[in-house]
Amino acid sequence: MADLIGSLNAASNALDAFQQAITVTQNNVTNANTPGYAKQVPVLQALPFDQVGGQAGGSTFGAPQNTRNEFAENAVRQQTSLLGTFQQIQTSLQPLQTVFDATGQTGISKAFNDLYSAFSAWSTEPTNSNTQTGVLSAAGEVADAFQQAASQVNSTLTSTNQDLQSTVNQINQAAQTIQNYNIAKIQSNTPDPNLDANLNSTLENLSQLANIQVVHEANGTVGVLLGGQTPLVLGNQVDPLKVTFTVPSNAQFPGNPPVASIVDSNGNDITSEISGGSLSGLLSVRNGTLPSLIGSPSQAGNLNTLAKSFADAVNSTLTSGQISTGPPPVAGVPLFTYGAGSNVAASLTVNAAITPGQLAAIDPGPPLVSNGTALKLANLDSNSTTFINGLSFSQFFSSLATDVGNQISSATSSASTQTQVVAQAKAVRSQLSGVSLDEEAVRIVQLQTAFDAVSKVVTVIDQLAQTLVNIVQ
Amino acid sequence: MERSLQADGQYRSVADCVRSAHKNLAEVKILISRPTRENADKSGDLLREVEVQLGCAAVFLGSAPERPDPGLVKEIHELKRQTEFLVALFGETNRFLSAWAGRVLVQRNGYTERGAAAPLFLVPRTSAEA
Repeated sequence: MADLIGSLNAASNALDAFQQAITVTQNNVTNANTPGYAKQVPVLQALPFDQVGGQAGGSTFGAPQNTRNEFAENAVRQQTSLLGTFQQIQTSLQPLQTVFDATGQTGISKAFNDLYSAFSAWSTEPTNSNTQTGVLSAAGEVADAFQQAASQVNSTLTSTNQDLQSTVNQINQAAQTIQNYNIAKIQSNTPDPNLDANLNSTLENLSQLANIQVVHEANGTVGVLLGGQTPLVLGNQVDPLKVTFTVPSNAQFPGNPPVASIVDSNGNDITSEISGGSLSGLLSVRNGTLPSLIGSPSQAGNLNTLAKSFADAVNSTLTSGQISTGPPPVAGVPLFTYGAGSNVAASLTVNAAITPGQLAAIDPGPPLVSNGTALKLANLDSNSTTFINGLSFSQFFSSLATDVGNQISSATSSASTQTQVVAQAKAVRSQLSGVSLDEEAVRIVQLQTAFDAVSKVVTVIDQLAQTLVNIVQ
Repeated sequence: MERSLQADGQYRSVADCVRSAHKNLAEVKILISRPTRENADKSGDLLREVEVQLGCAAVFLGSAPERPDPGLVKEIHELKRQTEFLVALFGETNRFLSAWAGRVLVQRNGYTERGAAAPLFLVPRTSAEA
């Protein structure tokens, strides 16, 4: 009797094990398209066999093991993080491409060319009201072009600030999801493939946002470090991030946009640790590219420098000239005005008080030249005394436009390459831990065919065994 | 009491045949707890051996002048329980595998015009040589 019960137990264990193995594969098939899911492999364990002690042997189903490969996961996360940076730079800088056109067809570059042409036309007929009006009109275009460029950069700055805030919120939400996973792990260490899939999907999304390092703890929980140093999640503890905008007390240009920083839950500035993900891209644009154009507490901004230098050069040439020789001689008036702060590009306008007739074409000399000032202005772009960093106004603007264009172009091509790298990393990971429906289908059909054949033999054997029983009865 | 098999010398008695069949069936039980094609194939080989062993046992018993001893009868009944278990297990396995294969094939290949899972054709291994 003990033998019979033992045998039935062993048989029952084997049946249970088999059933659970099928459940694992069914789970694999169901989750073939679930993000972050890694194939589970059924693990069958031999039970002790001791006929005297009543242990009937057989097999039982151990905890399923997933085929997740942490190296592959880490590779995907690292590549995704880089992709996030490039894509963000590309997206954030794209709106600037139209205003920083280096071809001379639109924007500031075209406005400069038009104004130089107007100065040239005016120099040929200095007292002609049409050429004078032409100068005022072209000067208006230059002011408008600077205002539009500044406005576009400011608008990009505002949207970058919003994106920074939203990205940090997403990072904190992902950290909370991981915290919940850890709490579930601490409460029950039973493997849960769906929980695992959710965790890995969250980690992958998080790596798109920032450079993270994942640490697997002995108790099954995961720790997430930002930049490999700052803890974001450790066990059931989350350290949320914050975005702050600060102007240093000793700022040289306090009126300029503040610096964006990422701080940890203790208020420590961890901005320098962010080197990947869209957060890194946003910080690079927010604290690098945009301030270089419209300034920050520590710099005036190249667009402002250009606007101010150009306006000052035109104004000083006109004010040193004369509208008429008199007597008494009438000095020229400034063509451009701008605000008192450092945001020159945004506030650059044509002097509202100037009339066409007040344009000072006469260079008092000596020798006096009746169109001398107009000629100087027509050749302003080649006057080395007005150069910025050794570049004429047109060249300086071209260098700004080229710089912005290069950053967009570099980010675009890097994002394109990185997309391929991420695809490769995911393919490798998929080979190691993914679920292939083809593989499952072939395996099941082969199994079904093999088992079907064997079950026919079993039926014959059962009939033979019945014959033996009939004989001995 | 027991008759020896003289023909090939492999199975000398009913008890020999029954015990060997027992051993093979126990191995089959362990093998099919790991649902792989290889294990199913190995199980098939072992079961064909059991078929021969039981056939031999039936021949020995049919030609025996007296009833076998109670110990052997007990072993034959135990063997019958084992084969019943295997019939049930393989029946269940086939049921599971059919439903399972249907589900995978529908997901992978879609349906046939009659609403069944589209079949998967397994091509034997081929090689191409210049």
